[in-house]
Amino acid sequence: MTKPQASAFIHITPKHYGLLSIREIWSFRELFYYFAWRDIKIRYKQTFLGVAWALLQPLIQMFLFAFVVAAIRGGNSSEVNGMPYEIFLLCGLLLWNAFSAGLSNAAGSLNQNAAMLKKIYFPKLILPFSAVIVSFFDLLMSLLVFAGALIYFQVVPSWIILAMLPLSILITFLATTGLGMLLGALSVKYRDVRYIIPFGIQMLFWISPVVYSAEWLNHHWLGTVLLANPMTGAIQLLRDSIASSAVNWQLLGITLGICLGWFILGIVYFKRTEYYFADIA
Amino acid sequence: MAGKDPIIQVRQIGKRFHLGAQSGGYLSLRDQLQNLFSSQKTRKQAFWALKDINFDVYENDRVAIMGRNGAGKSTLLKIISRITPPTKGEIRIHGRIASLLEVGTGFHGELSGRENVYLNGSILGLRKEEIKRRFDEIVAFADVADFIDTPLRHYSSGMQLRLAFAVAAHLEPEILIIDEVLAVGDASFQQKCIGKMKDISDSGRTLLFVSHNMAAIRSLCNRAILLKDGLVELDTDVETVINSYLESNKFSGKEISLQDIPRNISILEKELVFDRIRFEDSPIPQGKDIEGAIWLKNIAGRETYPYLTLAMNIDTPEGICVYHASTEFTGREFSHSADDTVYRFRIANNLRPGNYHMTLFLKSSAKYQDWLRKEILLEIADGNPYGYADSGAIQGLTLPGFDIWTETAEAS
Repeated sequence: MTKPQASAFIHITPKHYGLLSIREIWSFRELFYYFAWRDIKIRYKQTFLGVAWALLQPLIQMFLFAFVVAAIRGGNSSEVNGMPYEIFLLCGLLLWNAFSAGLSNAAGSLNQNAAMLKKIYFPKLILPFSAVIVSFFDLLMSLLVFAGALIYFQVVPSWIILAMLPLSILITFLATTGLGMLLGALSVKYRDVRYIIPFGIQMLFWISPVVYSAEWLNHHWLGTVLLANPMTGAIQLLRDSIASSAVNWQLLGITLGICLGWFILGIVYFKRTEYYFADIA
Repeated sequence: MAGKDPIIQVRQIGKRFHLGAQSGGYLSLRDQLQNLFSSQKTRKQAFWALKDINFDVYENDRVAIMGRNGAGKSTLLKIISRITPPTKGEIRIHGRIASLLEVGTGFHGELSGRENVYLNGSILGLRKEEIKRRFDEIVAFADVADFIDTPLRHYSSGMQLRLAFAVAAHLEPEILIIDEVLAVGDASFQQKCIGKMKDISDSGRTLLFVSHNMAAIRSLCNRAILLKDGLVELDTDVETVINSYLESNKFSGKEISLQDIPRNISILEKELVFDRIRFEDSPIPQGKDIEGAIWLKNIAGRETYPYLTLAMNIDTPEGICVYHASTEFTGREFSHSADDTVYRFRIANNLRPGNYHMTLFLKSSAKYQDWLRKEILLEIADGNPYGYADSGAIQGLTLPGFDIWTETAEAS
C-alpha cells in the first residue's frame, strides 16, 4: 500500500537551496496538470461565454489595432512585410498575449497561493510553471483564429512555419517562465514588485514589435535594445516564416540565447530564494 | 529499516525569526535601498522561536507535541515537514512523510467535491491512480456521497472539513504529522477522526501530533514532548506531560499580577480589567475558606462603571466546574469608580486536596469587560476534615463535613 520508496531519506539542514531536483519535480508531475486544469476550469466556469473568450480576445484586438493603425498611417490597412496587416498583427498578438498573461499570472502565482506555501510541502516551481501553462492554453485556442485569418486573407505561409511556429512558441514559453519565476520570487520578497508588474508589462508592449514592424524604427541602437527583449525575436521569426522560406539563423541564435539566459536567471534566483518563501509569503 | 534506528532524528534545531517593523517580515524596496545607502542598517529584532530542540522518534512512536501558544510547536512541525528551513541544526528522516498542518488547504469553492479530492490528493503527494483507488473509501468516510459533484462552496463547513480530513487520512505515509486540526468539527466526527488516526498508528506507522485536546492525546499517543520557550522541557509518558502542561500553564502564588496574562477573547471591551488578586493563603489549607482580595484597573478612564458583575469559577483540571460564585446571585450592587477599591471575597471551601483552575469574570452593565479563563492555579493543601491519615484514599470532589453515630431506638 505504501509506496515502494520506503527507504526515502530526507536530510533537513539550514542551507538547502541551489539544487534543482528533477526527480522530485517528476514525482509531482501530476500537480502541474492539476494546477493548470484548476485555473483553466475556474476561469471559464465563472464566465458566460466560457472558452469563446480565448477566441474573441485576439479577434477584437486584431480589428481594433488594424483600424487604429490604418487611421494613423492613412488609407486602408496595407501590406506589411509582404502580408496583410491583420496577419502581421495576429503573429504578434498570439505570442504577446501568451507572454503578458503568462507573465502576470506567474509573477502573482506565489502570493496567490501563499496559504499553500505555508502549509504544504511541494516543489514550488510548479506554481509559476502551471500559471504559464494556463495562458498557453489560450494561445492554442487563438491559433484557431490565426488559421481562420490565413484562410480568409488567402495567405499561404511558407513551409518553414511548421518549424517556426512551435519554435517561436517555445521561445515565448521560456521567456515567460524565466521572467515569471524571477518576478514571482521577487514579489514574495518585495511587495513593490506587484505594483511594478502591470506597469512594466505595458511598457514592454511598446518596446516589442507587436503592432509595428521593427523595420519602422530608423534607429540603429534602439533596434539592438529591442533584441534583448526575447519577444522581438519570437515575433519576427514567426512573421518571417510567412513571407519567405529563408531562415534568419542569426536572429534565431540570438533570440534563443537571450531567452535561455532569462530562463536560467529566473530558475537560479527562484531556487536560491524559494527556501524562505513560507516565512515571508 | 533496522529495528532500533530512529526514524526521525532531530538535532540542535533552532529557528530565528526577525520581528520587523512590518507584520509580514517581508521587506520593501525602500528598506533595502535605505540599507544600501546608510551605514545605519534597519536593525530587526531577532527572536528564537526554537532554540535547541533534540529528540529521536522511533518507528511506531505516537508522539504528542505539547506546549502553550508560542512555544514553537507549529514551527517545529513546519521544519520537519520541510515547509520552512531551520536556522541551525539538522533533521534526518527515514521514510515517506505526510503533513496535515491545516485542513482543506488548496480546496477551491468553485470545483466540485470530486475535483477537489483529486486536486487536494495530488497536492498532498498522491498519484492519480492512488486517489482513484481510494476514492470511494474517502467519500464514504467523509459521508458526502450525495454531494460529490456539487461545487464545494455549497458545502457546509463541517462537510468541507470531513472531506478534507478524509483525503489526508487516506495518504498512508510512514510518518504522519498532524497539527491542531481536530479543534474544528462536531464531536462525533472528531471521534471518527481519532478512530481513523488510531487505525493509522495501530498499523505500525509513526505519528507526530499537536493538539490541545487532552482526551485525543491520551487515546492516540504513547509519548509526549513538552516544549517551553523553544526548548524541550519534558519528553516522557503522556500522563506526566499532560499534568505538567496543565500546571505550568497557570499562574499561581499568593499575589498574582493579572494585567500581563494574555486575553485571547475577542468580545471583551477591556475598559475595566482585573489588576491583581491576593489570596490569604497559598496553598489553601483544606477546609479553610478561600479568602482574598481583587483590585481592578480603569483603563478607559471612564468616571464610573455601574452595575458590576464579578464572578469566579473553580474547575477541576478535567474541566468540571465545582464552584460558581457571582455577585449576580447575591443581588448586591457595585459600581467601580476608584482603582483603590478593594473587592474582598470569601468562598466556603470543602474541596478535596489537589489543583484547581480559577476563572475570573467581569461585566459592567451589559458589557463584557474582562475574562481570565482558567488562568489561575489554586492549590488545596493535603488534609481532610476527618483526621484520616491518607487523604488521597478519600474519593469524591468535595469533602463535606459529615458524622455518623448511633442511637438506641427509643420506644415512641
